[in-house]
Amino acid sequence: MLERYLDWQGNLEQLVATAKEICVDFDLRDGGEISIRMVRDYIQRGILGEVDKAGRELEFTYENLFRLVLARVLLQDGWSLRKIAEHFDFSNLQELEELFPNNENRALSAIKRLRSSVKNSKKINSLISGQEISISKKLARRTSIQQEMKQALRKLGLPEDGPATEEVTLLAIAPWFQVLMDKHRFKSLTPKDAEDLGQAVTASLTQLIIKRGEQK
Amino acid sequence: MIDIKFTPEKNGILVDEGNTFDVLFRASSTENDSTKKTQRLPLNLSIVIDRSSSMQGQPLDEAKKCASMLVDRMGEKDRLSIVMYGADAEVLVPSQPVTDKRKFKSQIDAIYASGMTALYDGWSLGAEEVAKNSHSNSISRVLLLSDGQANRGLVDEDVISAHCQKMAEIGVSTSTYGLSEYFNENLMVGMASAGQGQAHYGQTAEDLLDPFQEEFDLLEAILSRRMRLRILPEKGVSFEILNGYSQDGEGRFILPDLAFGADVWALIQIKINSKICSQQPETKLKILSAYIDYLDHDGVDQRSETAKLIIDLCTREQFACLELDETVKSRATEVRAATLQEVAQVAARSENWAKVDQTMLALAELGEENEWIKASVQRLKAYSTRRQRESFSKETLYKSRKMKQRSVAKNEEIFSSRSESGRPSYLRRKMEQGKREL
Repeated sequence: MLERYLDWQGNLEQLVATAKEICVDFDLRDGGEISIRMVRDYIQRGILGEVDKAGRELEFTYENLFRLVLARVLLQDGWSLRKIAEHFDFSNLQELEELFPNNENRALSAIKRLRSSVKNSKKINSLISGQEISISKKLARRTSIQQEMKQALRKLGLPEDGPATEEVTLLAIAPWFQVLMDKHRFKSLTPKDAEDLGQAVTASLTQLIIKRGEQK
Repeated sequence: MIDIKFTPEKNGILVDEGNTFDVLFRASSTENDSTKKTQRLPLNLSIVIDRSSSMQGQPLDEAKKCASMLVDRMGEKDRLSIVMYGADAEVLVPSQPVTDKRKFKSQIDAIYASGMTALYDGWSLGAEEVAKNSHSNSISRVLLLSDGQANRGLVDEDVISAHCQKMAEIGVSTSTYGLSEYFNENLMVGMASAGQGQAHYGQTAEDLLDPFQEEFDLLEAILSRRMRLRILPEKGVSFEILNGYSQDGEGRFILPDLAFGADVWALIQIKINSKICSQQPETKLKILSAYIDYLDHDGVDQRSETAKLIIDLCTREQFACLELDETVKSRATEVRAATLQEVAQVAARSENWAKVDQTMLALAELGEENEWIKASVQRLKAYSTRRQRESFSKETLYKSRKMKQRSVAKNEEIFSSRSESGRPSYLRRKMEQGKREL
């Protein structure tokens, strides 16, 4: 938990500034820099919980600040924003505080977050109809795709952080879907080529889904 | 301190051509083994025991014996917790210093068999107990024992392994012990690989004590932990690590812990495009460089010196005169044998015995070049001939992992049963991974 912020209160700009400071302290880099736009998105998703208003201005408290920073921790663990929002919905502040990294014992807070993700997945899955893949499974898949990416880069003779100068463009369409293309060919790419590629990707993915036997 | 070096299969590559060749990377300790060995790191362990109904009788008795052996070998500076799991998981003894051994043993004796296999719940409770006292100056590890399939709670193998990986990244590793014929070897090996621990199994309950001893011998001998290998290739050079080591978030390869008297190694297949090789013969080419980040014996972050692989360009005539390095050749043969065993394991799982037989022939050929492979294949053949799917599948998977990622004794000799008997248990090449060797 963030003890020294227990009495914290502030407006939107102050929330962003304070959350940024805390993220630097805890080395939370994933998910992009915190911005006003991002905070508005988190409010809409319900991640920050109830937010008070004073006139036209939003007023935030320790709990809102804590939820914002914890969301960054969970993003770093590989959770999706959707799953974070669901998890926060089903947890009280004390339960959430237990998940925050304890600088004196990172391992303990990490295992608590892992156990919590499993416990809450069960709880949420029983409450929400429809099928969904658990956060951790998404994480496992994402990790495996990232590893494959690295292997592919290596096989192309592109070291991940060495003296790499091969001319390849990486299109990160989603964190879990990335495309490599020849940079020279990219220069001559036309809108028609792009459309054809899109259709080819759709066809390939559909075929994979059918093979997997999951098409409805 | 850690010393690292490269040994290419030949001391040269062909001029004006693309080249593909193997290079052995080795890391070894420069410490004086005999002085350091007396000061082993404190251990922070949790033993997680499956007490599901199938453990009834001898399996549970042997598991208790193993747990008691651990208690006997631990000291007052060490911490231990005991977790059991059946339909639910329960902390039997919370993490505490091993001062009152009788107390631990009486709790172990009281375990009885009942219920299903909530394997994840057991592991995660064990990990939590270990995490409570996880420090960089001790070895924190969960030792999980199971004879079955996870069938209660979280059962997804990928997710369980991802959780083991996450904990290993912050210093809590996982070793697994499979028992008898029907445990899920893919899950148990997956957990140990992701959890940066050891994977062992015993065909019978009596075979289990050896691997426990081996693990403890290794824990006592660990010199450097959290070894991360960074490889930096030059332009036009690509490479692949053939041992199956996974990578961390920064792209470094995760190597096994370095123990006293041992080398940690990686077999690297390197490809160099012909453009780079279009230079005068006898030109020295820098191919790649590497270093290792690790935690030393005192738990302090260290980085090794950077080693460079530099190799001569040579003509066809010169190349033909170069001798193959025997150690690189032998290690490459073991890695190939390991890969073939992985293929055979998948084939056996799907009852494709024709493919198993075909792969066994290829393995037998490799055995002509390597006595350890030869002895191992003979044992495997007994299972494939009798179409014993479970035994074959388990032995191939565990042997494959061993061949690819084992710690190697410094100055290792050619394999023979005599050559192995005098070594520390964690450096022995066993003919059969799941059996006690008398």
